Amino acid sequence: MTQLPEESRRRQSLLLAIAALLGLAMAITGLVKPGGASSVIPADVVANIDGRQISLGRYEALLEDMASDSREPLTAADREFALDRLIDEELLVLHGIELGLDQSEPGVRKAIAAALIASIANQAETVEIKEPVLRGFFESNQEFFTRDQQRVIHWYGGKIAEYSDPVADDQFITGSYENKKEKLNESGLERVSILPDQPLNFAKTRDYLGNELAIEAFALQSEEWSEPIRSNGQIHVLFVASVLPGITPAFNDIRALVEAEYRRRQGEDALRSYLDALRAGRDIQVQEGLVESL
Amino acid sequence: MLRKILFTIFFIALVAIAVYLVGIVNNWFGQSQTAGVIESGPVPSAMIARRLEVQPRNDSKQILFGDLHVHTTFSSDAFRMSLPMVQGDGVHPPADACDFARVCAALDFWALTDHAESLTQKKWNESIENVQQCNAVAGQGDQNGENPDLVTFMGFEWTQSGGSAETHYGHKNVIFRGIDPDQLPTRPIGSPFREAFGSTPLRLRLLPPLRDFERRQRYYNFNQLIQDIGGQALCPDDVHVRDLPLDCAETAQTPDVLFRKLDEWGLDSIVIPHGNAWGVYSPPGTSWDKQLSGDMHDPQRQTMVEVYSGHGNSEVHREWRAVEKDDDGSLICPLPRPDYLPSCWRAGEIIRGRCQQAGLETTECDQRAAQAREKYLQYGLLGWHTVPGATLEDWLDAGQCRDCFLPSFNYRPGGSAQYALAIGNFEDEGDPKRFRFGLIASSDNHTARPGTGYKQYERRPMVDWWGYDDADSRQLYSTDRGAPEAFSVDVDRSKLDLFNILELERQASYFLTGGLVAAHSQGRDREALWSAMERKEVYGTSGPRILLWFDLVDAQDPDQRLPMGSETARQENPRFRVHALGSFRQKPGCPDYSTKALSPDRLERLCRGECYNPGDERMAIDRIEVIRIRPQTFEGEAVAPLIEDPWKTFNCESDQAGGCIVEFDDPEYSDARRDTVYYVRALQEAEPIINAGGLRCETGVEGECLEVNACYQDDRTSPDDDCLTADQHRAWSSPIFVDFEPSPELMTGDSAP
Repeated sequence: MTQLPEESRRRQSLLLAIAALLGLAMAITGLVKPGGASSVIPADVVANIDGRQISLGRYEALLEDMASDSREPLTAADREFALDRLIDEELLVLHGIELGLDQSEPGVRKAIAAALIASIANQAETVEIKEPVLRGFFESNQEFFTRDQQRVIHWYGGKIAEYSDPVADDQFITGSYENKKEKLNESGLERVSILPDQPLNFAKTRDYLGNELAIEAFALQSEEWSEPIRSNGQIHVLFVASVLPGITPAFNDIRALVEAEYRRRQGEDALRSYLDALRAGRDIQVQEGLVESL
Repeated sequence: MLRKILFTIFFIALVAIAVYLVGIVNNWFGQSQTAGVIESGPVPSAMIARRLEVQPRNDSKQILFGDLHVHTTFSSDAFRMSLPMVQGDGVHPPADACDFARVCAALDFWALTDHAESLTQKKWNESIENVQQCNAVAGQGDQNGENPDLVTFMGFEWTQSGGSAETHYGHKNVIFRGIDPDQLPTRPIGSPFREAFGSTPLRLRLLPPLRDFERRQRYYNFNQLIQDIGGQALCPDDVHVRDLPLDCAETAQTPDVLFRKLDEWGLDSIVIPHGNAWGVYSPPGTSWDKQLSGDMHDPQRQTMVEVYSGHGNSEVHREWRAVEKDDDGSLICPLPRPDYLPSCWRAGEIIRGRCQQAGLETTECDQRAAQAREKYLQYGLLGWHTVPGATLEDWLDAGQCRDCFLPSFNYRPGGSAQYALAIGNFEDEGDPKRFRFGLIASSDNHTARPGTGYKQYERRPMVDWWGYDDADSRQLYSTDRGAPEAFSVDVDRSKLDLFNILELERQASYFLTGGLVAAHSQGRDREALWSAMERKEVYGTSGPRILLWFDLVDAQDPDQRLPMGSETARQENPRFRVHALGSFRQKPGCPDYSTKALSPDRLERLCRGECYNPGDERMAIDRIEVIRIRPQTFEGEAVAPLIEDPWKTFNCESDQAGGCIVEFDDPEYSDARRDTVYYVRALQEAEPIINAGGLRCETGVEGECLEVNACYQDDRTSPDDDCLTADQHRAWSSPIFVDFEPSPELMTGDSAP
């Protein structure tokens, strides 16, 4: 075999070395580095965070979503809240990128924020909680763990066009249940039979009555009548026959639930602290004029 | 010397890479998914009070809505759907299903029914634990457990599929009454289809983690799941279930074996067949008939059939079939009809068209078309592979029911609920057997989202989804269908696997949001719900919470009623009453309690920002349709004339504050002297529904499909396109079974008819 010139052999060796090292590096990386998420972050205007911009389009899109969920026009506080949310998200994304959590797929901003939020929450998940702490949490949050009330509701309904209001009638106000029922029938309202004559919680009551009437029903106390409620061309009068009050279960019966709620709140607190720390470490500039003009 | 060192390093690098590749193939890097953590807890506005004292119950029942068919990524097909390469949004363990049912869909009950074939011993135990936790959060840990906010049942799916109509029985969900260890079997019972759940082709184990390196861990985890499934040893046959080894995989080949094993366990269970008209896996020619023979039907357990799910509607019977047989049993390709184009026929026409384009003689092309039809039928479910290079567009709407409501893909009328209710088995002449199914619906959702049908939105996460994310992936992972030749070919089974064997590309246009099962229950608790299901006092909806009552009323005393699901015997003409109310129109977003029950991030991930959120105005019920079925009275009696659909139609008033109420009787019953089955459909006003248009054919003057506009699972249809078409959601009551009971005079012939 013909010997190559010295220079060529050196060049070959160099290329071989580079290839070998690259291959070794790839292999080691694949073996030891765990798979993880990655993302890509776009950016635009309205606010600037360390050179990264939140676009007007994004901000407006979020405002639109909020507006569609709300019956009232958005207030300045709402707009401020929306911007805060976007800034929080931007901070998480920035920090995520600095930690190396970037990807090339579209729509991963949420994934980055979610990944960080989840990792913070997970830290709360793994902390051991002492029993007295948990009991103390339960005692000071009993209202949260109290089970919802139930009501037995009688529902009278009819068409507005055929209705003559008996509810303001003195005889109606002072009469017995049967008297009142008779008055309602005379006024064009019949008892609606589809509503079961048994205790129902709010969610199930809503399945029968709809949201508005369910809210009205659960504002009434035992043996109380509602005022006539007008809705969708109909008149409704509600009577609550009985109320089953809420019960606070014993701690031992719902210990797992108490722990889950404690951890969830710990996770949220941890996230808030984390975000506050991120804010303190960033240069956040907001185009106030643009925000106010929307 | 330097050269030797470099060669050594290079060699080590090669070995390392080889080791890495071997590691991928043998799942060294995979991790098992856990059941997850349930995060939702009861919130003040949605929790249930415990009774202070026993309240006297009356006959009034409440309607509870649920979903008895739910998969999580403990099912390997669901895990596959969650992978990035098919645009999945990640694992969804049982904890996700619990939170979705409670918070997003606000259900009253649901059942966890992952594929038994996917469930190792460990995963089965984890599922049980998670179901117990889901119930504990609901409040069944307290005294009587009478008023939980959500009841969770434990179950599994027996995923049987046969290669031919003769060996195919179809899938069945098994639901158990209790959730304590002594109320559940040690392991689920799968079908021999387990092998398909426990294997993945080598190229699909190796290529995805290399191509999608950043997210490789998800593929490693999927491979781990497959390895765990495939690594189980099968339980020995003919050993009592309670004597089997703890860690073996139990299987039942046929329904009779499944029922026998359930009998051996001695536990309270309900078996719910479904998808029997779904032709994506039911072979052509499938029918219910053989399941009435011998011990193939257990009337005590098999009390309901799932008539509708996110995989389509299996309600109605049609006269046409995908395949027919002549007198000597040979398969025949049926002729096209205005309401149906057989796939075998279309196969022939595709070949004919190519043949003519190639300039060949007409007689030659006729012959090739005939061969193509024959070959299509010869391969049954694999028939579509016999036409090389055929695209989705080539097939037009072949195999689909053109005039059905949201039909299952590749519809099999012999597997419909109506067909089941119409047939009889006369092996025992004195006591013919019949199916007496209640009708329910559910979701069959594979992303741990029970009850997804409350709104029509976000097609991708809310509907079963399965499509490669780009053309390169489609090219790489799908079977090469070959060039579009002008002749049909034999199927090379060695190239087929679970990823490409089924017609999933066309199927994508027939995936829907889920249906619901509704139970007229005397209480919210598990026992009351179970009792309602045993009584068959249940009905199904295509997603919305339509309220429906259907009763047989006593003509003399209207307060005396037999509700839906009842069986009775009489001579006189029956009278019925139907009452239906449309579902509440949905408000956007989620109610306040949802935002308190789950963190914003989890609410977004699971519910995608939309929950069951009823307003105050009900949708209108458009009409009530009554279906009358007179089951066969002798073997071979023609089935089609026995099913009258609709037998009666009642249009409802536009102003229906109290709902739509109709009463009717059957004046022909007494003269006909036949057992009769009645059930009703309540149709709501039209609204846009995901994939209600199926393949969205452009039709010709005679209603034939000229061109399709499919709803693809991949980048060929925009992710923002929910493929909405207007149609009418509906509810199906369970039937009332009225057996003709002749008077003594009639029996002796003393009275004139």
